[in-house]
Amino acid sequence: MPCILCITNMHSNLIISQADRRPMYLQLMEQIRRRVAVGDWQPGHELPSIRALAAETQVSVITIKRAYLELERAGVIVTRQGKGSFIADTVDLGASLKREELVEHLVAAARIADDLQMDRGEVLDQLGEALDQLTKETP
Amino acid sequence: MSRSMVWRLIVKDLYLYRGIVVLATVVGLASLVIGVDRQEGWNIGAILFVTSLVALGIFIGMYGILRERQERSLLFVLSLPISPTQYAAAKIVSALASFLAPWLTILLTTLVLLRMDDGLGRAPQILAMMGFFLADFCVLLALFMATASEKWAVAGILLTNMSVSVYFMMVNSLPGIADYLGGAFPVWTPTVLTVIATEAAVSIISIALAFYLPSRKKDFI
Amino acid sequence: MSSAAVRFDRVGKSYKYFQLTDLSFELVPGQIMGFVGPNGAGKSTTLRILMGLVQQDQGEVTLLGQPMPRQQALAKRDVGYVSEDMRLYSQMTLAWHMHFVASIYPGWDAQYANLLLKRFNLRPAQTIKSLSHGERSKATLLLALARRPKLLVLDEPTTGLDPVARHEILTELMDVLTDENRSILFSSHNTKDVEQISDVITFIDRGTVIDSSDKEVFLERWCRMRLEFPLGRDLPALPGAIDTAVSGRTAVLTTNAFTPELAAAYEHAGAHVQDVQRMTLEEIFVATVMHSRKERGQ
Repeated sequence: MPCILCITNMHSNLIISQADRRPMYLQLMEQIRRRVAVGDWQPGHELPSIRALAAETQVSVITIKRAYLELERAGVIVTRQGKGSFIADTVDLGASLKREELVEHLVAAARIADDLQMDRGEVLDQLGEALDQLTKETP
Repeated sequence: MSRSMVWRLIVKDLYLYRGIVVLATVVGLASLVIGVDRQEGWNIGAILFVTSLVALGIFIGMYGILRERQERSLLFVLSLPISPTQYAAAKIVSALASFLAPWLTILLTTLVLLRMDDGLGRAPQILAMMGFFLADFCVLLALFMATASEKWAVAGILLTNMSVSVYFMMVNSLPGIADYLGGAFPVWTPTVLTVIATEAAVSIISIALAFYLPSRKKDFI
Repeated sequence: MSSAAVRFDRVGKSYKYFQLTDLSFELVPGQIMGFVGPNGAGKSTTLRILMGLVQQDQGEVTLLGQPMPRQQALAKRDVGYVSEDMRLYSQMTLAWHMHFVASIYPGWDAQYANLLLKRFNLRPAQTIKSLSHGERSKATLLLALARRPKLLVLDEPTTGLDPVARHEILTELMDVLTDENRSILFSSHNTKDVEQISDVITFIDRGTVIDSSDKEVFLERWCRMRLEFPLGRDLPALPGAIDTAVSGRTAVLTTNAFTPELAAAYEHAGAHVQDVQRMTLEEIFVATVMHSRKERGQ
C-alpha cells in the first residue's frame, strides 16, 4: 500500500503513516508486534528510548509512551526502571501475537457482516470460501 | 550580563549606522572647507553643513529607531536577554553617540579653523548654532522614543525643518549675536549666553524624557 | 510549583477591540505544547506577554521560574523566541547574525550551527534580504536552535512554509525533545503539525483557554458515534454529547467523553452503536470552538 506521507526513520525502520487514519500509537504497536512476529526483534532486544524514537519518527513523546505502555500491558515488552524497554522473554510470542491479529480481523469482519445483516450461516460460508481460496493459492 | 548587553546593542547600532555617520562628518567638514575660504562661500558651506547635520538627525531617528520597530527587527532584538527599558537606553545612547561624533568633529574643527584665521569672534554664533542643532536632535530623539507613530515622527521632522529656517531668520541675526562677529576674540553677550543655556536645557530635558517615557509604556509592541 | 517551564495564572489583557480573559495554562518541562486557536484568538498576544514584550493587566506569568515581565532579561537567557512576524536585519548577512548571537549566548554550539546550515541549506554569506521567506524562517530558527535554549517559544513556526522546509523544521524540533529538560511551546493553526508532535494541546479562542489536555486524551475522548435507534423513541441524553445530528433512525453524535462504557450505556438504552469514528485534531478543534462559543452565548 503506497504511503504518501510516511515518515521513515533510518534506525528502527518504524513508519508512522499520516495517511493512515488509525491512531499513531496503534500503528506503532502493530509495527513492533510485526517485528517480533517475524523474528526481527528477538526476546531481550532493546527498544529505542522513548525520546529517541520520538525524534526518529517525529511523533510526540506522549504517543510513544502510550505505545510502550500498551505493549507492556499486552506482555510484548518489559520496561526496566532506568535501563530501558526490551522485548519480553515470552515463548511462542510470535504465534500468540498472530492469533491476536486473527481475532482482531475476525471482529472487524463480524462488524461488517452485521452491517450487511448477514446471518451466521452466510458469514461462515464466506469464511469457508476464503480458506478454500487460500488452499488453491498455496502450492 | 545585562550591562554588557546594553553595550553590545550600542556597538551593534553604531556599526549599522557607520555609513551615514562617516558621510555626515565628511560632508560637514567639506562644507567647512568651502565656507572658510571666502565670505560668500560661507553660505554654500552653511547650507551643506546644515543639511548634513539635519539629515543625520533624521536618519538616525527614522532608520535606527523607527525602522527597527516597523521592520520587526525589534522583535528579534527584544528576544535577546534584555528588557524593553534596556533596549530603549541602548537606542538613545547609540543615537546620541552617532550624532555627537560628527557634531563634535565639525564644531571643534570649526573652532580650530576660526582660531587659525583669527576669527574667534564668530565662535559664540557658531556655538549657538551648533547648540541649536543639538537641541533639535534631542527633541526629535525624545519624540521617536515616545511614540511609535509614523505620523508623529513625520510631523516632528517637518517641525524640525521649519525651526531651522526660523532659527536662521530670527535667532541667528539677533543683535546680541550678529553684531559681534568680527574680531579675533569671542564676545559673550547675555543674549548669546541665554540662547546657549536654553539650548542646553532643552537638550538635557529631552534626553531625560527620552529615557523616562519608554519606561512608562506597558506595551512595547 | 516553580518547576513549570511556563505558567499563566488568570492572565488578563485589554485592548480596544479585544481582550485576553482569565488565561491559565502550564507547560511541564520536557514537553511540547501546541497552542491552537483561530486567527485573532490571542495566541500571539499570549506569547508576547510571555516574552515580556507586552505587560499583562491582570494575573501572573512565570517563565522558567522567573516572574514576568519583571525578570525578563534573566529569563530570556534560556529562551529562544521565534515569531512569524520577526525580522532580521535585511542588509546584514546570516553570518553576521550568527556571530552577533554567538557573542551574547555562552551556550552557542558552533558545530550544531554549521550542521543546521547544511540541513537547512543556508549559506552564511548571504544577506537576509536575498533569502526567500522559507529560508528566512529557517535562518531565524537556526539562530534560536543553535543556542540550545531550555525553552523554545515559537509563534507559527511552519506557517507559509513548503512541505520540505516544514519537515526540516519539525525534525529539528523533535530533536530538541531528546533532552528531557528542554521544552517547546508553539502556536499554530496548522493542526496537522500540532497533532503530530505535541504532547499537550491547548485550545484558545476569543481570548481565553477553552480546553487543555494531553494529546492522546483528546484523540481518545473525542469521536463521532453513529447510532441507530428505533422509531418513536428519543435518543438517550447521556453526558458528553457535544453535537447530535439526527436523520430518521440514525443519529451522528459527537462526544468529547468517549469511553467503552459510554458506548455500552447507549446500547443499554436501546441505541445501537453502528460505528465509532475517531476525529482528527482539526475536527476536534472546530467542534470545541463551536461548542464553546455556543456555551458562551456567542
